[in-house]
Amino acid sequence: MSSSAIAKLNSLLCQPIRISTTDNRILIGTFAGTDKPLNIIITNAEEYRIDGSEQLPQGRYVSLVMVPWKLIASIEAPGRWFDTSASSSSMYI
Amino acid sequence: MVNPVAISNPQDLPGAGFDFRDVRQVFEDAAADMHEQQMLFMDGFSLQDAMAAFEIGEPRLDSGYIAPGDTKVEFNPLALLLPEELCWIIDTALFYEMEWHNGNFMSHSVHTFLYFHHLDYIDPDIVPSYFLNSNDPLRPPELITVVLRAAVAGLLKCCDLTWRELSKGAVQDTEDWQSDKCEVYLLEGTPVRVVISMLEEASVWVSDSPKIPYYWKNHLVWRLQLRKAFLQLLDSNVHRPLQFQVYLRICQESIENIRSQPLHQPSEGSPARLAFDPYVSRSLNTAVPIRVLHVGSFSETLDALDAFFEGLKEISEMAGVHSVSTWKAVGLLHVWNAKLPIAKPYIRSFTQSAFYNGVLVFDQHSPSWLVDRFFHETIGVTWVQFQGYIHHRWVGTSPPPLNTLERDIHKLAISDVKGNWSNQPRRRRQLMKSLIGWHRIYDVLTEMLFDVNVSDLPNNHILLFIPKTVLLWRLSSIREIVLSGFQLEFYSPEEKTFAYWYLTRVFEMELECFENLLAAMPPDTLAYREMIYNQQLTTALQALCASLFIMTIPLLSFNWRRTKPNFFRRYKWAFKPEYEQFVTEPVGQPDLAEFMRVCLGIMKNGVTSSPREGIEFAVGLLRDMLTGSNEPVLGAWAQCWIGERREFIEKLISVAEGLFAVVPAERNRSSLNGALTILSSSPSHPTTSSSPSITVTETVASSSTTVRAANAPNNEQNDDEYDVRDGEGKGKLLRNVRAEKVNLRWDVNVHPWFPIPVVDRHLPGTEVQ
Repeated sequence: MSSSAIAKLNSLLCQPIRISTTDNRILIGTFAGTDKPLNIIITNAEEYRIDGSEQLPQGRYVSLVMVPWKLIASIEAPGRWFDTSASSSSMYI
Repeated sequence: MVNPVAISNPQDLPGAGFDFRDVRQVFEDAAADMHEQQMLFMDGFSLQDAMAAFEIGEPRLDSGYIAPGDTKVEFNPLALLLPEELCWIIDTALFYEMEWHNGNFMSHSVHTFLYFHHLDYIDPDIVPSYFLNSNDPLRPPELITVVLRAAVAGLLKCCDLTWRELSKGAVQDTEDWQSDKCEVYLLEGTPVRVVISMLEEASVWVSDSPKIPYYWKNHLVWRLQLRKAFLQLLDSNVHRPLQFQVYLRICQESIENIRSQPLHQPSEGSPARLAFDPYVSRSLNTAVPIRVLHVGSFSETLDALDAFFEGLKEISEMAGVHSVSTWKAVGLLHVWNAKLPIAKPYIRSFTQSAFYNGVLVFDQHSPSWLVDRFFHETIGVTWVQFQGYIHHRWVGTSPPPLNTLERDIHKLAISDVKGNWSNQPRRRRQLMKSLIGWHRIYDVLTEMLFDVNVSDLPNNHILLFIPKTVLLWRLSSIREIVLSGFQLEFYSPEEKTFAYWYLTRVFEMELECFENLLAAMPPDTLAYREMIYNQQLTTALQALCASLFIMTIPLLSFNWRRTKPNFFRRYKWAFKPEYEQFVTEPVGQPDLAEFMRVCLGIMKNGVTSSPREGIEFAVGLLRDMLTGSNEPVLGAWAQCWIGERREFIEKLISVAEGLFAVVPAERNRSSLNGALTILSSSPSHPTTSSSPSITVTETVASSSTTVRAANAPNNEQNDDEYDVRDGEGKGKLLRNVRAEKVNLRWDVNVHPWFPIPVVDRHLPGTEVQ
């Protein structure tokens, strides 16, 4: 059980992830790593500030950032990862 | 999972095309199973890489962070403004522009001016018609679409031209200035004349429009005029002096006009106050943490601008003097005279560009012209004449390497002159690097003379002393390296003693060169007078340094084991393996062994020459230099800067007189010797914890601090006793050597190289006489 949960997270490495923070920002970048307290490191990150307007927010490149778990309102992976993850499970488990 | 990001349609979120879905549980499950120290990284990514990440939510690093409760007032670029509000906006933007010139980041300075990012929004062809038809009589919309837009465009273009000059490489990015534009468009693609015509159009509108009250017309026109002339100045060639000086005069007159009628700050609720956002970095492409610059008084901004234009004025004057020696002399005066720091990197870069644009010297002369002037201005003989002598008398088998020499001299002379406008540490490094090059030329010239038939030439023929010309430039570089160590406050107390002693040696070699060359040079030339000036100044400096060497001997710890590695680190430029490739021995290298011999000699025999006499001699000589009859010598190649030379010498006299007042008089020479006797070989001299404190008072920057000498009594006992043998290494063991209080204070704000006395009425021999 323990190894499979970690293995599942491991398979998320190098995938694009989207993080929404509690101060109304969205960060999109490549998931590069994490630790037990779940400090999330993303590379090639773009930051978008959502100020309530209906317009698509303009992003800025912020490169390599670390997001502490306490600031994360939501964290998402692309739909294709779920598909790959599901097929991998059916093959090896 | 509640997503606080309030966007009604998920398809409007960034990255919608990826079909993002929640994986929070995946992270939480894995975290529950991970060990305390476990980390997951993608291939090729390490903990070290992770350390470089900016932490989101950390206010000092995360430029996008907004603290809870920090509300942002929306900026409206189309908010109508009163003329006085517009003037205040233009003035505050000027403050931020000067702050960028001072080396601050654009994101902390000019980019905080929000109209910088909204120039298109106030374009009269784009603004909504209701805006143009607004009928507030006090706030005409043209103030925004015509006047403010022209002022913003002018500022943007000035920043663009400044950026271009600064990025030429004469000053260093991140050392002298910050190049990060944060991907903001600075009208790089817009020609200067377009912006000029916008400013002219705005001036005409302000002058003619009945919508602007008469009182405010002048205020606005002065500001537009200043911006226009400033832009023209940055765009013009300093080697076309008439045009340049006209723009300069307009700038200075506009400043005076603006200064003559100060304005009030806008009210707290004024829309003008929203025109600047110190937290603008949150939305810019930059990783630089936010720093809020507090806007100073506008008169200070005008002072900074005035100083900027004064700097440009001096460059304009210098550009009219096509002389390498003049430029070198002026550059040295700037470096030596602590009162005249050239703070603005633009001025330093522009000065260097005016001297050499990468192809031509003074925008018109070839490299061989420079080499011609190098010899002509130093010894009164041109490079062409020298080449003639060599070709006529050449007896070597291969042709003389004149082309290589010309290229090397050109390269080093340019770097030497330009270096005086680099920042101080950079200049020191450049000088260190140049020493090998100067020695290479000296070596080639010395070797070349062996293949020249000089048998029929008199002993004082200038050809025989040509290598000394190059040697002089090398020795002056060494002198500047050592002196810059004082200016940069590099030296520990005991290093100062060595530096003063070493300077006396370098000055001695310079004086020898002057003596040889003066005997061979054509008299009544500027080169001759300049050399006499240098000879007088060097003699005075040598006397001062010799005195200070003796006065600072008590600072020495005589811990050679520790001194040696420090010495080789400090003077590493003299011990490069490259010197081994040359036939000629390098001249003027530092010699620790010789220094040790001299110090031990003094310890054994006492002080034979009085520092007081040396200072008295130097003061007398410096005073003579200022007499009217000496004026042609004082001017020489720096005729237009004779005032600055005078000022420099007067300051030297003042510092020397201060020292003279506290140096033990003849009757007290024994007191100095007394201080030195404890350095002598008396093994019975007790080392007790009750020994007098051995502090050296120094000033670092503006604050005065007290530091302990290397072997302060509270150091370990082992540090107090050194196995110091005399120069031959077989003398008596010298024990209990300790540094003493010298009552001198080095403060670069007072003098860059020499100390001032600290009067301590409780110590004998230190009273002001």
